[in-house]
Amino acid sequence: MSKLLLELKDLTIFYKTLIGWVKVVESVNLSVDKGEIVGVVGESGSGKSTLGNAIARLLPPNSKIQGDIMLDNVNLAKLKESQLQKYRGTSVFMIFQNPLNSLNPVKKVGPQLLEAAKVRYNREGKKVEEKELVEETLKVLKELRLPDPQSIMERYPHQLSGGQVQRVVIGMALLLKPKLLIADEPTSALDVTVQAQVVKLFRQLNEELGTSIIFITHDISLAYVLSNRIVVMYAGRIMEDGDVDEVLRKPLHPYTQGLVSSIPKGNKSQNRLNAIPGNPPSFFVLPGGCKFNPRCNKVMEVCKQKEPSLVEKEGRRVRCWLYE
Amino acid sequence: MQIVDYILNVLHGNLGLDPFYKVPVTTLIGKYLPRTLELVIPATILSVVIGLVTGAIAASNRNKPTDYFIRGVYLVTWASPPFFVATVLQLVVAYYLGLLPPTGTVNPLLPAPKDITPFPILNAMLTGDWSYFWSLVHHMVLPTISIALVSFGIVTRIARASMLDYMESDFARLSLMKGLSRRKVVYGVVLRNASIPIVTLVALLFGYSVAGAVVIEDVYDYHGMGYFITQAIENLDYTSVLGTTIVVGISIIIANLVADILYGILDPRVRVVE
Amino acid sequence: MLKAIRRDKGGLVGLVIVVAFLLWSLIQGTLEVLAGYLKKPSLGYTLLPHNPFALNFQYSLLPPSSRFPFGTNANGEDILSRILYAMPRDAFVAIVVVLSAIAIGAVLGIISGYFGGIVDEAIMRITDAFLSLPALILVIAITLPLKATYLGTILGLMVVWWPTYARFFRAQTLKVKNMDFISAAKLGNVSPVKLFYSYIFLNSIDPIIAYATLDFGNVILTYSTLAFLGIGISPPIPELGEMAADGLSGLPQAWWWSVFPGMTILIIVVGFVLLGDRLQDIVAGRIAY
Ligand SMILES: Nc1ncnc2c1ncn2[C@@H]1O[C@H](COP(=O)(O)OP(=O)(O)O)[C@@H](O)[C@H]1O
Ligand code: SF4
Ligand SMILES: [Mg+2]
Repeated sequence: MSKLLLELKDLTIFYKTLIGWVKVVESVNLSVDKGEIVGVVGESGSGKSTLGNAIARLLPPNSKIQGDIMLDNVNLAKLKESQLQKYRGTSVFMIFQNPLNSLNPVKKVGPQLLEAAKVRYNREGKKVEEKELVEETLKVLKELRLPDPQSIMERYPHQLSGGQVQRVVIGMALLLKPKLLIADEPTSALDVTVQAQVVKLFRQLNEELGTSIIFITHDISLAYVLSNRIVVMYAGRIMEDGDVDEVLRKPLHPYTQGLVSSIPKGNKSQNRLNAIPGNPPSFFVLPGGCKFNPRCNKVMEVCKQKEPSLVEKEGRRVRCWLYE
Repeated sequence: MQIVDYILNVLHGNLGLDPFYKVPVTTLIGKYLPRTLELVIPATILSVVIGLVTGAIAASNRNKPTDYFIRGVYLVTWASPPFFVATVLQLVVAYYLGLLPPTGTVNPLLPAPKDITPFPILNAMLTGDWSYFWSLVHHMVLPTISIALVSFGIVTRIARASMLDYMESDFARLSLMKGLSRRKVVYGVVLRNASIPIVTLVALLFGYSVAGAVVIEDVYDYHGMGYFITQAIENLDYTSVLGTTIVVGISIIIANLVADILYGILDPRVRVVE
Repeated sequence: MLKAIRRDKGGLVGLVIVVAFLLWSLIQGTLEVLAGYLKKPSLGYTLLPHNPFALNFQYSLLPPSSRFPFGTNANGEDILSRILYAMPRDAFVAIVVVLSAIAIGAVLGIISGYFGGIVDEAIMRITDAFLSLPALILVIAITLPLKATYLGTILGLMVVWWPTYARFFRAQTLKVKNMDFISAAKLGNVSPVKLFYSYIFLNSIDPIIAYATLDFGNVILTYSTLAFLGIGISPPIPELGEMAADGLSGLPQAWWWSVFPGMTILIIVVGFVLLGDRLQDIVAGRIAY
């Protein structure tokens, strides 16, 4: 049995805008093993959500993708909308950025969770009583440390706090037991104490069910806490990809170095990626050569001429002329 | 100080005397209004239903032939004068196909049941006079459909737009992500949410339908408020027209109240917390 | 703008219908006015296939043919000629009512937004009341004491048509009012009146043109419906809604009598709606997708 779960091959994503098609993710090659947690890190606007949504095949209608998304030998990128249903939920599940609007506002929380449980049992070809489903759901809610699960099930989403909604959505993941979970900034809307709880839940999901996780965040220190591997994105490209400890200990790419040095020592609540001067480029006017060159403190002549490719270096991958 | 007298009278529920029939306007309105309501209430419900369904179908087939077809249909019905829609339906369904009576309120040969309520159709039901009942229904079908046809377009338009909005919402996307079928998401989750803003349209739609009914009754020679008001126009009978306007205003206020109640039922966020 | 309209089939169809209708109304309307002025009625028919008032019972209720493309009515009058003769009056009503609605709406909306408080409250209450009652019934109530004449009906329409525009201009005014301080301070010596005027004006032109285009269709629809009920007509001059009402007496055999005038209204209104929709899409920046 191979360890590989997901393989992205030359995945390129475009959005149609007023001015025309813009390429927001460029030729991403990435593989995720079974049971692996991959942290995808980068400043806001670097294309992380776009990448995550593409894997879940939930991009907005004004988008287009090229390349392959191989999940367990099925190419999701080539499937039609009608064929996707049977992979959604149990094969891939995604928790969206800002989860507060993720629940149907006119339906009670309980039925929304039960739907998820039913989907899994249907896929497994098992028939179960409604009562069993309810019991399993209650158990999950208890694991999530939601107070009084019984009454949570009877409430409407607007009667829950943001952290509670977030945990309900994670509860769906626990009920669906997906092979791959994509979590897009799942904690950015939550306060710090809830953040830590949520991170713990993800680890639990990973350890108990062997779920692979793509954990998207702009916060490299948060990615460090949870992930086995870190993928750094900039301007829609992978800049560096490697084992989390190695990347943190010795970042190769100047951009990763910037991110890592911006982690505040000591007071952990103040971690913002503000150490790198300048702003990410606009996708309409990307700089020539290396996309990071206008902000790079190690920029060379060649960097402005030609874009470096993603090369193997010390057991990881990096896109920078310093290493070619 | 005629106007002051008139207002005082109105406040006492007295809308004046009809100059031709020499009976109080309220009596005449009391006779004709229920018949119009028998058309307008089902027509309003029908146009909400047609509008939601077509809006949902159009939205889920965005920019495909089905979408263009639905948009084309509502454009035409919306831009049609109400009498034109009624005339075409009357020609095709009643005269050419002979499926329904082209004109009239009820078969005039049938004796009317006892006046228990102001509504003929309720009277027929309460007295068990089913031949009268079916005759009424037969005469109501075409006017009701005509009214619904001229007013459903606005519902389709708004339903389609809010469906498209909600289809991009996180909760619709998460429902897909859970592995629910697209059908279930579109018609269960998205449509259910998109129907909430439609409720605020109900009162407007009702007023629109009343105005449509006035004209459409004329085409079908149906004796409701439309008949009453056309008579009043021919006779330049101002008292009756003013009385009608006031009554229509009141029924729209009531329609607004109904819409508010419906809103509370449909949207848990505005429900009073126990 | 024209290029953006042309790229869309619906918008193009709308543009063609609207231009044809307005152009015809201008030419034929001029001829009708001149004919009345010079006391030479035949001048009003020069462009028409037949004299629209020619009573000729020999030709009574003829079905559509090459000679009478839309057939004839009970009096033997050519329905196409009567339709063409009637059009300029619809165009006139639409233009007068929409322009006056913009003017009244601008004045009341700006007053309402600028002064706020009790003035605002009063104007907005009236606006709400007008918007919740069907225009058709309000106009009937207003024009009937004026004997339901053509001019009386235009007046009635003018009285009820402004509220949508008042709301729009009120919203625009509130927007400026809220940024007044900042921009006035920045610009230093520019007078607030001028700032106000140019801001509201520049920001309103596009959306107003788009909405008004659609609204021309609404006015024509309401006016022809009133005419159907016998309001705002001046016999023997034909009117589309009135012709459709007369034609009911010919059903079911002489269907063309009522159907063609109704269909003409439909086509004109569709034209305005298609063009107006397209313009609104362009103004809202929705087209590029
Ligand atoms: N629906 C869309 N249409 C057009 N452009 C989009 C759309 N969604 C995102 N973008 C653009 O794509 C780029 C990447 O966005 P995103 O994937 O959300 O980045 P991140 O999640 O890293 O913040 C941004 O420049 C954003 O403006
Ligand atoms: S390629 Fe050049 S500009 Fe780009 S990151 Fe490396 S050193 Fe900096
Ligand atoms: Mg994002």
